[in-house]
Amino acid sequence: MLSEVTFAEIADLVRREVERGYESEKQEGRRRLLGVVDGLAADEGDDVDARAVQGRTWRVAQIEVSGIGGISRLVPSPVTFLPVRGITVIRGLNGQGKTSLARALECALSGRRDLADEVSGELWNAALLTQGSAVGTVSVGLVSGSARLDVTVDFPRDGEAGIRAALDEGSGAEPVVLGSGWQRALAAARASYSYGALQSRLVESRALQGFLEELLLLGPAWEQVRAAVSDRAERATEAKRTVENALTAGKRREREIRERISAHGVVDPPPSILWPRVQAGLDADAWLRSLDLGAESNGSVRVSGDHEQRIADIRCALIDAEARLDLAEQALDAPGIAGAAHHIEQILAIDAIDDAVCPLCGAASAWRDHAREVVAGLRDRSEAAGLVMGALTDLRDWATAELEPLLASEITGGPEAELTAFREATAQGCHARSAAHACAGPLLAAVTSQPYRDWLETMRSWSQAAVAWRDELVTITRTCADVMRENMAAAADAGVWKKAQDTLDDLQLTLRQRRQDAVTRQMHAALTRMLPDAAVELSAIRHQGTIKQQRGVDVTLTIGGQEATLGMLSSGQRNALLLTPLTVLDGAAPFGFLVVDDPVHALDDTRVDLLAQEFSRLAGERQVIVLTHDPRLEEHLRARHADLTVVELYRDPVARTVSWTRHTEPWQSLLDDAREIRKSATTDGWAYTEPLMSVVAGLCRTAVDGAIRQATITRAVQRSEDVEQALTDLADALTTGARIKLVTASAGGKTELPALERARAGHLRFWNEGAHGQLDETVDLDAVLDVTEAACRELADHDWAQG
Amino acid sequence: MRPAVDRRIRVLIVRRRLEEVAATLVERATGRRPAQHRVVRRRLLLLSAGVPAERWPGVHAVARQAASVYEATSAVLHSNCAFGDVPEHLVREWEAVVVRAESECPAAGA
Repeated sequence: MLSEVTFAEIADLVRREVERGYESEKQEGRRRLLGVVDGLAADEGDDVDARAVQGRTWRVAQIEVSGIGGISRLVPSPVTFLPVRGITVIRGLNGQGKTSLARALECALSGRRDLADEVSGELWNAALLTQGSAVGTVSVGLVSGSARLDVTVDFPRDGEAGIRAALDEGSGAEPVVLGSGWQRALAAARASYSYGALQSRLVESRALQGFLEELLLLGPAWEQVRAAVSDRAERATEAKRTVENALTAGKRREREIRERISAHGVVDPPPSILWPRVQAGLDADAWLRSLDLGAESNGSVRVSGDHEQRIADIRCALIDAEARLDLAEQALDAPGIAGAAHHIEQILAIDAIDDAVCPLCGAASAWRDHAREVVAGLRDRSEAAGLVMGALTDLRDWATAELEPLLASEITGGPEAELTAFREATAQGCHARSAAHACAGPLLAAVTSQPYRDWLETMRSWSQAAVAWRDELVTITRTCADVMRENMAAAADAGVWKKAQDTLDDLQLTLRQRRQDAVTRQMHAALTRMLPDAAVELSAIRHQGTIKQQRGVDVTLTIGGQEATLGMLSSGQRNALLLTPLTVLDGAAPFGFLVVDDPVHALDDTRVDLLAQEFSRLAGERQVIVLTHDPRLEEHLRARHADLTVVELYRDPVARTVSWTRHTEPWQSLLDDAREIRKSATTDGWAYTEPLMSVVAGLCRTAVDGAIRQATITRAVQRSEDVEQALTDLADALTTGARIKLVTASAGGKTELPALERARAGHLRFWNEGAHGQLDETVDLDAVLDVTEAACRELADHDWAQG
Repeated sequence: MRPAVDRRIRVLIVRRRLEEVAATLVERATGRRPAQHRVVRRRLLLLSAGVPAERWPGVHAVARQAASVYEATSAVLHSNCAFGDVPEHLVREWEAVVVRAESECPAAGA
């Protein structure tokens, strides 16, 4: 049997790889893979629905259905089953609700209505709910030991299905969530097998291959690991791609900016950006710091915003100072008088001198006032000279700070000569009436002239463009840095996760090979059992293509040693082949049941018997529920299972209710019917044209004939004889009497079947004549029924393997 | 009564009515009613005996259908085929054949 690969097995395989490996990126990939597997295994352990899965072997105890498919409701409800290993046959003609019941069970366990779509597409989806029902409901009761799980699913006409489950472990029902663990187990168990669903794939070109492909899958745990690793690898690759794309976009934009700068041809381009490679350890902030993209980094000049204002201020200050100097000097009208002023001040300080008489000439005058005017004039002159020097100094400093850099730019023009003269003059000092003073005028005149303003405007426009480009570069690099910060942690792992994927691919190759061998071996054995006389051999089932580019499954068949295709099989043989995968499904917990819908298609009696044989084998390990319209399967199963349970469905086409009754054996139900008819005829009257006695006689004879037919099949099966031939021999015996003789002989004589012999001797005539309307009115019907039942029971209980 | 049982009884009645038709045909041909219902299928073919040529093909077809239905009911009632329910449409079809056979042999359906 095929089992799904578990997390523990995957972890073991990866751990072995890690132990064998040496330090490398691949080894890191293996470690990461191991981490993923361990993480998923831990999550699985924490799954809230673990109680519903672990340690369970669920069997179906009951099903309630309302408003689903062809079933508006079941009567009585629910349909109950013995939750044990063995076979239950649900029989009914076409359109009685068998498939609706099977699909309802499957949809309920999964909580998915789209399963129905997978079976028959949109048509079934549209008919999932019974016409007129707003909501369909399925309740399934499962039993495992003393635990019981009730799953109820509501399928509203519009919207999602709502699934509720309650687990009772002996201390009352508790709600339980049927989550991923349940779904995984359900998918792995493939507890529902619809032949119709499989057959519907035959209309597609790949036919059987799809189903085989599912068989070859390693199970949900493997898929989960693969999905998790792929997800991480994809995320890492995507992150790396994002960073690379950001860097590429940054480079492209830098190139565009440089082309624009270059087209200007004046401003020096900023230094080239050193773009990093996407690799582990790349630090976005360190990279940003390493870039020289400061305010002056583009080598261009910048014209300050108050450039003209500063010139105007300096000029005004100089003009004011000069005007004041001129006034002071005019007032003094004697250059070089400052030295005398000192002496005058000394004299003025002598109080003993008479204020009214000049101490120098002796003339009577207000000499002190005159002397003070001289001193004040000298002081004014000195201060004015200081202001002039201050203005000149400001001019010098401004020229150094602002004008000189502008003149150093590539843009020609500007008062270079005036500045040079002024700069040389100021080297001697900035005193009033000095050379510097003399040179300041021309310079100021130049920097306030129209040509200068034009030159400055040009300068300013280039400067602004340069700043804009620099800012643009800063933005680009910062954007890249942001992308790097966000993605580098993941992007750096891209290589490692790729290696993890490689490791997973290697392991999958190994496991896949094992799986292919197992599926081929088991299906070959099953096919040989199902088609022993057809010389059909299944020599290989193989995946085609690589792991990354799988191209389906190749089935190699031979018929009589010659290579063959599926199309060369008869429809019965092909159907038998389609049923063989059933035999390689894993019957392990937690789903200890198998529901098979409508497995008999175009199978002859021999094939039906072989199918019954396979079901019997499966029933040894799980509860098998077979839904079929073909009564032959029931017969052949009964030949192997005396305690076969049969549920018969009948659907009222108007009310859409589906009634069900449980039968033990067909002859028993006939005799039960006969007794029921006899009883109801006396109370409710008799509505048929044929007399009651005739009908009872007919049912008795049919029951005996049925019991003989069943005994014939059972005998052939138990003695490993040809069932078809046995039935042909029986059909050659045209009367019930002849059949009794035949079956008595095969049992070893009349002594082996005394009850049958008693019935034959006492009632064969009644059965025959009654059935043909030639009645013996004196017959005690109850006695006939008892004797008939005893004869049938004897045939059913006889050990046909002996003799 | 369960629909399946009802159908089974109706199959028995179909068979009985065909046996009556067969017995009536023998009685018409020989002037004597047979004691037992034997070789019913062959007796049913007497339906077309003596029928005018222009009606013969149609009546003979009814006779063959009746014989075929009798065989089918035998298979069901003698469990020659696997025990199972008989579909309603099949029983109705058989009943329709009986009605046609009886219409060709009025005394039988009386």
